[in-house]
Amino acid sequence: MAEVLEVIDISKSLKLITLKSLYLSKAKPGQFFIMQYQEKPERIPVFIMDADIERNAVSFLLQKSDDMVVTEAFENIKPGQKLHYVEGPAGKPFPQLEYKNILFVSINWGFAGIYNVAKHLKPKNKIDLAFINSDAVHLEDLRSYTGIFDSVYEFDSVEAFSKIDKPYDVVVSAGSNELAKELVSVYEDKNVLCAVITRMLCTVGLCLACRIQYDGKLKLPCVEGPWLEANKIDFDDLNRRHLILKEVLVRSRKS
Amino acid sequence: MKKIRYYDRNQEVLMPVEKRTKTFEEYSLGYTINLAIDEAKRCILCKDADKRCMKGCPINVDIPGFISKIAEGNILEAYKIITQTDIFPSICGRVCPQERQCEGACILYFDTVRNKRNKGLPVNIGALEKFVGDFVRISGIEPSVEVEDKKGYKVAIVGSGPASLGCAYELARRGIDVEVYEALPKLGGVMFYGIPNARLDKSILEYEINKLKKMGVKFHTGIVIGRSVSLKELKESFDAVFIGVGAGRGNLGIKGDNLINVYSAIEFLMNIALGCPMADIKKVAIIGGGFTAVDCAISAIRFGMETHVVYRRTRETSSARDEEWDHIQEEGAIIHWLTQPKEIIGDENGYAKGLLCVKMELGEPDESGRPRPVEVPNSEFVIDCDAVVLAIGQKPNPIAFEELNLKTTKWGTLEVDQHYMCSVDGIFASGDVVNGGDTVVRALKEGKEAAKHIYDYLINKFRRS
Ligand SMILES: Cc1cc2nc3c(=O)[nH]c(=O)nc-3n(C[C@H](O)[C@H](O)[C@H](O)COP(=O)(O)OP(=O)(O)OC[C@H]3O[C@@H](n4cnc5c(N)ncnc54)[C@H](O)[C@@H]3O)c2cc1C
Ligand code: SF4
Ligand code: FES
Repeated sequence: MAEVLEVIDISKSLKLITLKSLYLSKAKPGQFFIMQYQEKPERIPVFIMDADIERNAVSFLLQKSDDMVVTEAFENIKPGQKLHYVEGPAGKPFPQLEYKNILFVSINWGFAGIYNVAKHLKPKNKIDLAFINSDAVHLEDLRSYTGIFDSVYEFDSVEAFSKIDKPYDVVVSAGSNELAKELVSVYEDKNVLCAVITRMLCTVGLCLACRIQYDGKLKLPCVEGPWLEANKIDFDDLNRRHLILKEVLVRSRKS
Repeated sequence: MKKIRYYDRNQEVLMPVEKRTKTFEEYSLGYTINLAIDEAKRCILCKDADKRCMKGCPINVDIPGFISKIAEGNILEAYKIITQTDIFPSICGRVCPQERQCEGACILYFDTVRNKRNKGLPVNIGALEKFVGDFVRISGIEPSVEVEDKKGYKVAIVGSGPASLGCAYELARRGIDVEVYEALPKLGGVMFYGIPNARLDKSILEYEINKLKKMGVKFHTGIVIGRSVSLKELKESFDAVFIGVGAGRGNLGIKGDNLINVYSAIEFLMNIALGCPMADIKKVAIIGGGFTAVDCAISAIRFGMETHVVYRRTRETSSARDEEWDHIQEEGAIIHWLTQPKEIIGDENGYAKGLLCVKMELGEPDESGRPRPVEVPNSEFVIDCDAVVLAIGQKPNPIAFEELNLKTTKWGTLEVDQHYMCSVDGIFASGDVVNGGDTVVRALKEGKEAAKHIYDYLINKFRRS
């Protein structure tokens, strides 16, 4: 159980939520956790945006979706409430990079993971942000958090994203597999790291629900990710298995 | 002289097939007190039971001791006798494969001293043990556990399966402070997320875990050791650490295993145990022939799926409880013995649509002495299905211990010395993560044994310093 300390409306589809949790507040940059809102068993993985060890607090972005369970949490979450269950921090922290030029590319709730990683890498790196607006979230909604970036670029869709011609050593994306796939083709010559999105069940590496094909081998993003090299991910397999399964599950819950 | 009752073994009452296939409630309803006393009277209380049923029992329960108390109608005393060695009679009575353990070594059925088959049916030891545990639990009697004075040490336990619970019990009883860290929302390991409710009601697990809580054991869920907290951090904050993370990691390894609706058994069962949504599956093919395959079949049947089980060997070589094969068959499972799956076939959208199999026959014995199954030429056929569950093989999940580079074997299991200590001082392990995957009762026993060594380690360390 974790108490909700604060809920801030970022846009009509996005909220910034702060929780009290001793363990989660020790999270390292790039980690995520699993939340179960009230009794509903579906486990929602969310990125940690900020971890404050002194206040035992963590914040994360919750975005309304076509998934009833997420939307129910989104619409009802209030300060003072206790979340039924949280698990984590999970996943491997973001790899430490030093003295590099880094381009972060973010869409939707992915900004939470990007912000956390960028903040920690800022002292030793030059960091730029490319933000992709979506129906749910615009750059404008998150202006108060973009001040940490050296330059900020805005695009209106994944398709509209065009290569930013600057000397980046690494491109880092979060919020969409489609975006990560696009970045691999745009930045052919660059290392693209992405937070891969798959269906997660156990989050301990037991059940293989999250499995993806990576460099021709099986990889478990729940424990070996979420940050993986995008050019090694078989996106066709990922989209087929995970997107279709997600659809099926959302449908089965409705019926 | 008292006549030996070789044949009139009392069976437990089962829920009728048409009712039990529609519910996840337990279908084996157990003994009434009269049936239990009657069954207990079949036992001839062998003087050399330590060479027979007790030797067959991995945790060496004093079987004639507790059965004689049932025959006298003193169930509470029977409970005390069992729990001197087996702390979970209600659980072991339900999940142990008794026909290969105590019952397989009961003189009425097999004379282990002369090594020859006898003519009768074994005493139903499993049902009696379950009866005793259930009787005490349901009556609300709270047998007290004597807990020694605090010794001033604290031990962290990773995972909450039977090995960990056995270890926690034994340490807490000896006055050691124990904290258990479990990654999943529910406690019990495979007993929670693997074995379906129809075979082991979750409330029993909860009851047993509450007993440990009352002894002072603290439980933390949602903590993934190796990710949320490192093993190194645990080692620094506790006097010793026990690793009981099991070997439940799912396995794949057949062509087509990345198609949609292909699941590892653990994913399939965990989905159900945690109450997560399931895809709409009409016909499922389950690959495997052990406990896991049977549990997947029990669950699939209750979801109304046409259920096929595909196993390359025969029933005799299966590790599952013998009677459960009968139960699932009665419930409509189609079991394909001596059948080797070759490939999962997909449709144009990437969904599983069939399982290509080939028939096998028994050939020459392999290294283990079991006849090796060999392919029957030209016997390929396809099982029409829209989902495949892989219930084959298992291996330890290294997340908890990879960071400290604990020594492992070539199978990925943890290497331990005769005191269950790993290659790093003060870190102990047992259960499936060491033995590679066996039974609940073996994990329980090894967890308790490891606790005794942890205790000695702490006391000696204290004396030295
Ligand atoms: C489906 C199925 C059915 C079975 N049926 C039977 C049966 O009927 N009878 C029988 O005797 N045996 C049965 N078995 C075998 C039996 O369940 C195991 O031998 C036994 O549970 C092993 O116990 P354990 O304590 O070693 O590990 P487990 O029961 O596997 O428990 C390990 C626990 O550790 C947790 N964990 C793992 N990694 C971490 C981490 N990094 N941090 C924190 N926690 C972690 C896991 O979540 C899990 O809860 C079955 C096995 C399966 C898979
Ligand atoms: S071997 Fe069978 S008859 Fe003899 S004591 Fe054990 S259970 Fe009773
Ligand atoms: S979610 Fe279970 S293995 Fe990754």
